[in-house]
Amino acid sequence: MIDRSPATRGVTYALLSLGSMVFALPFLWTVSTALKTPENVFRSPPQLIPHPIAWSNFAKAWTALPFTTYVSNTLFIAVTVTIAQVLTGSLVAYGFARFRFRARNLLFYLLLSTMMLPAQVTMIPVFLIWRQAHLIDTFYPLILPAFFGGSAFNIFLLRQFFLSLPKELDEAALVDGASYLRIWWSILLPLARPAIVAVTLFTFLAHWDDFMGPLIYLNSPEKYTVSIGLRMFQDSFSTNLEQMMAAALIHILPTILLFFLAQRYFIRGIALSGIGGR
Amino acid sequence: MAAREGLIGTLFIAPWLIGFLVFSLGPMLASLYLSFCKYDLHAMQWVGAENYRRLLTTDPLFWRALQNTIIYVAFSVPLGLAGSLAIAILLNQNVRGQRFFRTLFYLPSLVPAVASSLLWLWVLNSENGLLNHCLMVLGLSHRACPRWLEDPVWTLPAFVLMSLWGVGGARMIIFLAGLQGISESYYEAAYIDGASPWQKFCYITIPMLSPTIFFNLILGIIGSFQVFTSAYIMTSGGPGNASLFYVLYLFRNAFEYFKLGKASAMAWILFAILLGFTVVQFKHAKRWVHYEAAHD
Amino acid sequence: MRSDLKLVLKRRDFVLGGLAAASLVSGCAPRSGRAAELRYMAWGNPEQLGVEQQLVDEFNRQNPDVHVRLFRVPQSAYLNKAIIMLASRTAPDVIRIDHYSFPDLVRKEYFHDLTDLARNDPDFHETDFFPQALEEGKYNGRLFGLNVLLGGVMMYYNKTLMSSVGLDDPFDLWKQGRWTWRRLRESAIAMTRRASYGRPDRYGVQIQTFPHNASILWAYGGEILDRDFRRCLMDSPGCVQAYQFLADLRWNDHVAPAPSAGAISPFAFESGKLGMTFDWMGMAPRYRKSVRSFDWDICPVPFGPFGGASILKGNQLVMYRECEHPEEAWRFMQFMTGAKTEKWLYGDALRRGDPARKSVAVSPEFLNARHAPFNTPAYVSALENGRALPITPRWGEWVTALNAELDELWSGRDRSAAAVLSRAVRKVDVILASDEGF
Repeated sequence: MIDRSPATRGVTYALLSLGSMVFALPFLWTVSTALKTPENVFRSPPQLIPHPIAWSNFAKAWTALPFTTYVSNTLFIAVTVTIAQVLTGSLVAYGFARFRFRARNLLFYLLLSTMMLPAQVTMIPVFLIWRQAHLIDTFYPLILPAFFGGSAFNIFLLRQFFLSLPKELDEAALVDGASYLRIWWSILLPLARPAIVAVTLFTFLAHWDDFMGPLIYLNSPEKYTVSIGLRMFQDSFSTNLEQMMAAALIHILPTILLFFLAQRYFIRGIALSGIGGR
Repeated sequence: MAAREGLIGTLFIAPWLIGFLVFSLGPMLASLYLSFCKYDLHAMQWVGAENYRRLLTTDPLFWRALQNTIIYVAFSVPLGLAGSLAIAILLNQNVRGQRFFRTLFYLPSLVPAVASSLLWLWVLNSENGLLNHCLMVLGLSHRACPRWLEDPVWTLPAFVLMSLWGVGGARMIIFLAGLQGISESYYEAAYIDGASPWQKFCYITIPMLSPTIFFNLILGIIGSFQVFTSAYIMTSGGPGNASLFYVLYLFRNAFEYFKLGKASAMAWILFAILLGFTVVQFKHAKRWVHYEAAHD
Repeated sequence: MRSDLKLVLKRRDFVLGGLAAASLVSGCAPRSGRAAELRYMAWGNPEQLGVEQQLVDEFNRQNPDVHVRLFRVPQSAYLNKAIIMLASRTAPDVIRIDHYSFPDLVRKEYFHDLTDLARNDPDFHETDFFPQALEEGKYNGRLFGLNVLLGGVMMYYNKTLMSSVGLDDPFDLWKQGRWTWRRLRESAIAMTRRASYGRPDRYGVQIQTFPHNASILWAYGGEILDRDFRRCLMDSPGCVQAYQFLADLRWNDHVAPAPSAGAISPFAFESGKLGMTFDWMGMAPRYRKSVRSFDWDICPVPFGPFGGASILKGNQLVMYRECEHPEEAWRFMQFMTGAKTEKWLYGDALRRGDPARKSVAVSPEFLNARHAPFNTPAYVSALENGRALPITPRWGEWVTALNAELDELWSGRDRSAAAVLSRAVRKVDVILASDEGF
């Protein structure tokens, strides 16, 4: 499929450039709006580069609502969940990958099928369960599920990766007298680093982004996450568009940052997930 | 020894098993039961199949929500797949700056849902938004520009458009990896046989990628069917129920009207639809999904 | 080892002894009910919640045996959170409930009956209140809620803009009985201005959705629901005429901006590009802060052939049924709805809305204005001539259906009010007649 003629290459470049520009435009538009003074936001025709540049919009947006609280809440949830997910997810994946037991395949297919279960089917009773346990308006409903293996997708990813590691490593360690847990911790986990990093990134992002969970379970404003905070911003400050865009950028920037720091692992992880065991 | 291994294995998967029973299977059965009741957090009453009967026969909003969602899925999934594939093919051309372009295409898919909704709310603004400005720059008059989220006819297209912003994301990376995995020898053989690029695409690329396409299709449909946050934030289902998506209507019945029985019935209908669709796709897959001989 | 142990024991004895001594000294304070903890929930933007916090702090200062904590929830999720908390028995002790939801919730026995508390309170006199204000909080003859943030919809207008195009002040016209909807239309036309490239850069008036615009229905002789709340009457000639008038303002005369998604519009009242707008009284404090570039004031809703009644609606301060300290909670509720608080909240200091007490409505703190809005008789007219909306327990459901249909009219898809209203009425009737909970 690789056609090296200069014509094709030129066309490819043109398409890529055009395409990426189109994709970047909404982004640039947001940044541009976030830096405008209120009078310039609705100017017609719009200025692409704001003049004057209002850096203060970010500070104003940050202090209009307690974003520091929101960010720290979200970080707490995301970090806790990620750690729990990696630990328990890899334990479960280890069980599926390295052990033979009755109904193993059945249970694994069950696991796979839950990936296709729409969340709404369990949403209401799960909510009622948490209500019975008097844990509404706490972080528990958002965190505890991660301690039980977490997302099926992550377990699947890790299991596929473990399968690709040679069983001889396990057997050698067993002969040396290592316990199963030791094998998991000292041999498989380090070798599975690409998959682990991918799972970490995906889980962190998913929980940084999570909206419905906090929406349903968190009542007190001290507990809100950034996504709910942004929704509140829309509630109270929708006429301050420039500040709202600044607030949206505050929500976006960390994920972009994370991507740039861990780009290599990201891409590798996604490729793993798509190709693993097809 | 084998028995011991079996026991230990079960112990390792125990967290998932417990979680599955408590957070998946149990709630599924509970919501099935709930769908046969009337419950508003205050009093519960068994009503048999009334919720289902009313949803299917006397609730026009149910059909509207289903229709809106099906239209949305029918456009956003195929277009999304095609878009991801197209970008992957372009990036696979071994051009310089591949990393740079790949990053640019990937970034929009990283934007969190709420932020993306607010951002697009502004882009789609009919008076001063980016989209209409671009259309006017391209020559459209102000009157001819669609009013997007204010016009029931253009609301769904707006949401489909918004969903396409993320085509350069994970799906595209998976396609790219898949493309890079296709052995060059196939293309060389085709070239020798005098095949055109289009033929190469149809008879080599697509079949080789078909498992990936299939995988993305299934997950894509299941995911798109659950569209919620954007409609919740941007339009609350309006204007005139044009963007009342299925899960939004479900959420509203559950957490705004507190008709928990009705919402549970809606959830089970959704599950049945998706399950039925997936089963049909799996049966149909044998005809077009091609698995390479040496696999797994 | 043993010597260490001795040292540890010695230290522990010392500490225990010290504790015992300290508790003897402080033992004078009663063990139980040191400070009754109450939680109070209310909605508002950060500034309004700041006001609530000030009131709470003041109450805590005056009542050292009670400690009230303010529990803030954002507006869009407020009702949903309140219901969840009430149903899961984790509700705060004192809650402000929007009157739209009060009829639905009060019959579910979530609230504490206040009748006896009121009767035993020597400072509570029913005659102090405007009848409608007190009636709102009653259910089956018993008192369940005290009215707060009472108010109605009135018209905010840009004085600078109106006088710059040579229009008479609407409030003066209203006092003479000449501020009619027709007059409003003429004023809107005069104020709307098109820029050089044909698009308006200034609009005369903003029209609202239901129920904000209910007063025009009444002004043209229409009704919303029938007396038993069983049928919707909005397809009557009066209602059709009223809504056609509003739709024409937008789509015929082009003096009202089209609805914008997500309320992102360059024609907000504060921008100075809108001559008149209709909104709740609670907007006044916000305009006080945000309007910098022009003079503004308020005016009651215009007259139609059948009069000019405004909406009058309040919110209920209720006590959770299972509140553990009902006496203290009642004291707090009395403080929050007392004459002094009302004078501060609704008087010139804050202008949040209308008082529920007659004495406050005639007091100088309320009537005299040193900052905009100066036309305080507008507030009083809502109290004297206001009408209640037909708020039924299923208000949320049928109003959502009504507005979804009315969207067609306001968005210009169907410009005939008669057609839209007849469809809307049919949908509302179906809901009103159907069983609940489905």
